[in-house]
Amino acid sequence: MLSLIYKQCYREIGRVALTVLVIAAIIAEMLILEGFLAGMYVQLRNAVLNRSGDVVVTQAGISNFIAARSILPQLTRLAVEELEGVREAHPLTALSVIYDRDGRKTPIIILVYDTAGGPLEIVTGSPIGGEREIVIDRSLAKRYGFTPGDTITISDFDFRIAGISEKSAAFFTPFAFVTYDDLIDFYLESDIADDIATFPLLSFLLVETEPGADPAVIADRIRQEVPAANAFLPGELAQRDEDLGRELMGPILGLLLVVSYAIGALVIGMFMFAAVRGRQRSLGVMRALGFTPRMLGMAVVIEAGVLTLLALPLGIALSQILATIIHALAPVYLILPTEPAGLVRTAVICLALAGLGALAPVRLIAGMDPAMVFRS
Amino acid sequence: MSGPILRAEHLTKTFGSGNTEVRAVDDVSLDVARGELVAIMGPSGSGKTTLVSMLGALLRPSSGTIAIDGVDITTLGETGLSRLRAQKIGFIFQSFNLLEVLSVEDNVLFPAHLALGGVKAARPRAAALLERLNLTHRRVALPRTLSGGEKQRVAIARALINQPRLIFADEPTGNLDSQSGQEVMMILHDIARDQGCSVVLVSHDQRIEDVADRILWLEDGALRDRKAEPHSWVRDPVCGMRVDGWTASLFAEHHGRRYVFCSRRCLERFEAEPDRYAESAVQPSPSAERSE
Amino acid sequence: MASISAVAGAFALVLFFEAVFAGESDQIVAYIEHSDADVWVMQKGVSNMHMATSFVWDWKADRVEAIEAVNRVTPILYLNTVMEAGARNWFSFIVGLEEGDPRAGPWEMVAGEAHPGPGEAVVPSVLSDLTGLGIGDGVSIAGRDFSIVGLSGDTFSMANSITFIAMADLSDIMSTIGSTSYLLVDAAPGVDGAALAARIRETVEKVNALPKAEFIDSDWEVAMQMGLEIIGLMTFIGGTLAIMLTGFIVYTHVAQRERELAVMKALGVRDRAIYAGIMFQVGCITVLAFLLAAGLVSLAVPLTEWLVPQITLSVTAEALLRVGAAAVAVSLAASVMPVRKVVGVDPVSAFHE
Repeated sequence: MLSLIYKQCYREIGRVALTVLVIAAIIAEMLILEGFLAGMYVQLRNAVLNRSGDVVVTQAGISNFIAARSILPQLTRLAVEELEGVREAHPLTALSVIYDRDGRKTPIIILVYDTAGGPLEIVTGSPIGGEREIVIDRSLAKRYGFTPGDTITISDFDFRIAGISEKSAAFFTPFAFVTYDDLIDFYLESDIADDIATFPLLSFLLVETEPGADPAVIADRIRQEVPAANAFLPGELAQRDEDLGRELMGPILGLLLVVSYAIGALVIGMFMFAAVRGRQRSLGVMRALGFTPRMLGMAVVIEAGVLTLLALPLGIALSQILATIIHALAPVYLILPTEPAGLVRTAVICLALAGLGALAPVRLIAGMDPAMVFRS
Repeated sequence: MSGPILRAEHLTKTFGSGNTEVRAVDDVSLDVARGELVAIMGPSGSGKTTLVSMLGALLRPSSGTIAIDGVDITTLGETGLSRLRAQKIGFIFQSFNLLEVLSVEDNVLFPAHLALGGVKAARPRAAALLERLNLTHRRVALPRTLSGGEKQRVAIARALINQPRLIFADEPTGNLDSQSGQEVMMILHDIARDQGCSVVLVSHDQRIEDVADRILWLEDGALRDRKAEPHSWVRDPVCGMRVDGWTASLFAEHHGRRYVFCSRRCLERFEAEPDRYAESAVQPSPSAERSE
Repeated sequence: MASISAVAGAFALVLFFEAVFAGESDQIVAYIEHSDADVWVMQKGVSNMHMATSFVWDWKADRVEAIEAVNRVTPILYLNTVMEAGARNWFSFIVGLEEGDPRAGPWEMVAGEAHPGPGEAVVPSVLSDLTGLGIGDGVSIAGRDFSIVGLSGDTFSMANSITFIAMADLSDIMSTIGSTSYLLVDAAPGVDGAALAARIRETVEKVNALPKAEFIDSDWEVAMQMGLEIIGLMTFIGGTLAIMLTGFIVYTHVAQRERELAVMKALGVRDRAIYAGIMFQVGCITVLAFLLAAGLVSLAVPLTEWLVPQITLSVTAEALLRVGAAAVAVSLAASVMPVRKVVGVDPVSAFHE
């Protein structure tokens, strides 16, 4: 029977190739969606994890790094640094700004850093070395065609682009890095405020602990001793941001995935239905020869499964190519289509869909009249 | 085991219901003995294919019973019928119905997947059958490269591979030239005589009468006595064409006489001016224009 | 029919993606849309609400109100942050309302009070459906607890649910004194919004003023830009899928009718005419599939909103046009597939068995 399936597929190579291609496209689409989620989670986690520090301090009541406005009183830094086990507390400020050039707007997060928390990976140019310099994420540079040395005007304040960084975007928002030296100038000279009192000077503290000190204990100590502050291990805060992303985008992407799966099943079903209709006569002959509808149905299911298995590596390769293209065109999106969890889930679901899609033609076989073989 | 290999009793098959009900097979009873070659003949639309579909366990009768090798098949479920077909019945079709993607040998071996010994055990039998049917040199060929006669010989080999007790052949010579048709009939005859395998054959081919042990005549779904003469030639009063009075389906009565027509068009023209055509009609007696 | 449904499925997928995205984008501007101020005043250099921060000193409200053509000025404080409700985090627009002034509050109430006092919050009714929280239950914003006093309608989306609290409370959370975020300006009857906005920009220093429509466009643009690439990609994948499906269907139809084509050729019909017939067939399949997809999506939209209330969907004319254009491209690309098959049919085969 398997050899018959093989030979039938070989004979109908055009149809088989097209079927495999279509299933691969569906798989790629699902993997892109899955990879979109996976990439978003990685970016959310890295927004915190790439900032260094053994403990991250936020405003009391704030439990996220991204998407929440954290404002710490200036004195918090001193209060934290006085605690036992704390070696140093590096300040970090996050500002949400909409960058606008000729009406093209992009929300960005400006991260103001001093001794830690700056860009992790500079791909072109150099780190900030002088006054009024800025490092921007590659996606921002790509969108507006910036290269190192160019001037970027944010809220009427001119920065010189020193470098362009990678792995510095989260939640579809690119980061830009400036140092504290320029922050006050920025506040005073730019359009964004006529009184710096309304703008945050300190959002987070990246705490470096003494060697041998347990960061979890230090975090507890900060929470207890500094009422204005909340403290997390970086992994903890990263997880909270990932959870937030999951809660926010999960239902939307989940819905899109469900719709894609439903359509995938419909498409595979249609292809198998067409294949079975094309072979109705030979299936009738097989029934006359004594094959049961169950055996023939099983053969259709196996064929759908085999085609899906063939499509799987192609779909994975396709999704990887698409992900690379997307990341090259719009680096703000990190798409990780080959994360094991998403991959396994997609493979299992696609095989199940193949089985489901093959059900329609199985019904066709069951309803087939074996006496049709006598008709010429 | 003694007794007939096939016994059908009061077999009826109706299609549709109410006004549209058609009785395709009407109270047919028959026995086929082991090693017997029975030919079922009759005009087109007489129910031959429906009857053979029921006898071959492909179609369930509306009423009546069929016993193959002593087993009442009308009580079997779908799986039981499939197993019965796989193990005890072979089929030969007018349009060959070979699996186009398989080679000659694979086609022959295909039903062996369902036999007790499987394909491996069937290989020597397949080789012998191919040899006997003069197909060894075409063993690896695909069906589309074969002639009609070769295709039908492959189909015969396929029907025999599981050593069935019964073979049903539906118009096996219908798509063949005269010489190939003759050859196929002789093979079927030899199968019945040499292997003790019963053959039930549906055909219009007159030559079958020479090899069949028994001829059954099916007309309007029922077995009837066969006329002494094979045909009753009469002339259509409108166009003058020769028509078989026994099998024709278009008639008209005029002044106590029965007229037969080749087509509805002729019938309508006759009905419009019956006197004109009745006068000119020459109605020979059935024996006056006997066929060859 | 099965064939058309499969192509329709691919189109429906694209339309659905666009509907999800447009629905979310609609919700982003819902507050601006419904609060219906003629002009919005914000900090200079800011022209958005979504993802933006704006501060305007409260005395500037008096300056704006003093302008002749201004009927009324309503200040609000605004923060884009995370709210904790029912042990989950929700992205929220928190709007701080002046006590006792209902002007900028919720536009549709499902239950309870529309105007929150100190320590009180008006949350979207969908949030209450999703979390099981009701009036009297608590939510937490930036570590502060608020008691739900009202449930508002049409204020929920995954990207930005709108929660209303008292301005004093939000001012505390944001550590601001004496400043607001935006001023909602109602013009005197007969005054043009754009002219008034220009006048405010001239009269009051370091503010930006935008008429309602322009402010909405500005936020829409940010929202759309954020998802454009993804939507573009999905349209591309869906479109490719549709091309392959339509091509496959037509190819199969042609393959099944090879004999008919041979007869047609034997009768003297030219390849070109046969091909025109195929193009017509492809066109019909595509048009029917597109119509079916549009129908499917218009059925799926209310169904999804009922099943998954946290998602807002919107089928826009632009999306339909875009997918319609994709459908035309699909039909052209798909009709190329059976060309070789048509040309390769041998008219002599009409005489073969």
